[in-house]
Amino acid sequence: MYAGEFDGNAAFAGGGFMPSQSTAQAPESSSAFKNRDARTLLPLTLKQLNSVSTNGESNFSIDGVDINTVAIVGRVSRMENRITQVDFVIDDGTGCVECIRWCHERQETEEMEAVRLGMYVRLHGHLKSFQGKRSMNVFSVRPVTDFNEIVHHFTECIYVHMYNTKPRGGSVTQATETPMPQMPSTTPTPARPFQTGPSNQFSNQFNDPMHGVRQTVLNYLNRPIHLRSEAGVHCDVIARELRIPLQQVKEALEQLSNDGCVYSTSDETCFKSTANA
Amino acid sequence: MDTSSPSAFVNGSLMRRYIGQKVRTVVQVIGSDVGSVVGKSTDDLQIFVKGSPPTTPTTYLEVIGIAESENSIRAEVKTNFGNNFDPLNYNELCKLANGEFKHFFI
Repeated sequence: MYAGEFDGNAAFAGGGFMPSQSTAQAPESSSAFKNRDARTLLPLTLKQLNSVSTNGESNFSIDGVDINTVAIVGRVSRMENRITQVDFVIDDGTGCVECIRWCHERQETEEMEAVRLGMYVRLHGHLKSFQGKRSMNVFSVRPVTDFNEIVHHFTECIYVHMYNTKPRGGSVTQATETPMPQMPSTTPTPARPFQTGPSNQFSNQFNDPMHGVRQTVLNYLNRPIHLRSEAGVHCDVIARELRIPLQQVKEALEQLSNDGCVYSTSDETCFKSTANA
Repeated sequence: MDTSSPSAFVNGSLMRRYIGQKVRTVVQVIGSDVGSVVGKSTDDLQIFVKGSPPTTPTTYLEVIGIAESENSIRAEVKTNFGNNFDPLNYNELCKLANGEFKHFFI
């Protein structure tokens, strides 16, 4: 079902000579997580990062979600420039972690030259464990310029934990009525781990009677046959097919258009979803 | 810098829980002198910071150090947090970090 998937483990495993963990050992029970939706960028506090459970050198999980790439925000508390890499320690107030940033390309060297001791940075990297000690193989380091980002990061850690641990329904009806961070689809949506990405654009729509109509219209336009069509679908057709009054369909389309979920094609009456075909 | 122990996120009223321990807080700088800073905590309490301010202090200053009393910190590290920092968000984070989600932080 998920054949031909992108193997993030192998791609981000560091020096490029690491054996692929996921092909070497793929236990049946974790195969459900091996799909694309499980490739998360997980924001964590360092206290969380240092206490995650592990079953090997680079297989970690927290809140039932496999950890691939993590995002942390903290202060550079130690730093050592070497020929091919920069070794540094990040302290976010909850703990510390040793990091390595390999600098082969000029762009990587330049990125690290902007980083100074004592600076707050956001970094993305791959979590590793060697002899029980956690470290990060970092592939993005960006200095924090707006310090609200620090508060945001920690609140996001809490939010993601809540998101991944709260009970979620997997049925179609529940899936369409629950605000999901992803674009809704017509196929039954399995419970997905949180992904940083398009933010929760459907929040605050619980008590909105138009929400159901919007969702139905969007689901309709997200059907593969309509995604493939160049011209989009005429609003009369949508109203007829879905048996929803035309006026309501038009209102829903206007709101969806404002939210960036659909766009009008040849004229103001034909619409197409912005989701990828 | 002492990286051996974590530092608790605190506002003015949470300081008393951590006297003698390492804390981090953000204050709005009200006045500064050689060797000390007077600031307003994110919950509107006065905090005395021992240690020289940065050469060009911004409105908000993060202080990491030891809580010496319920309203004074001996600063180890001070970082300018700029002029557009939102103290209310920080204050709420302090409450979460010392309440329901304490295990994520210390």
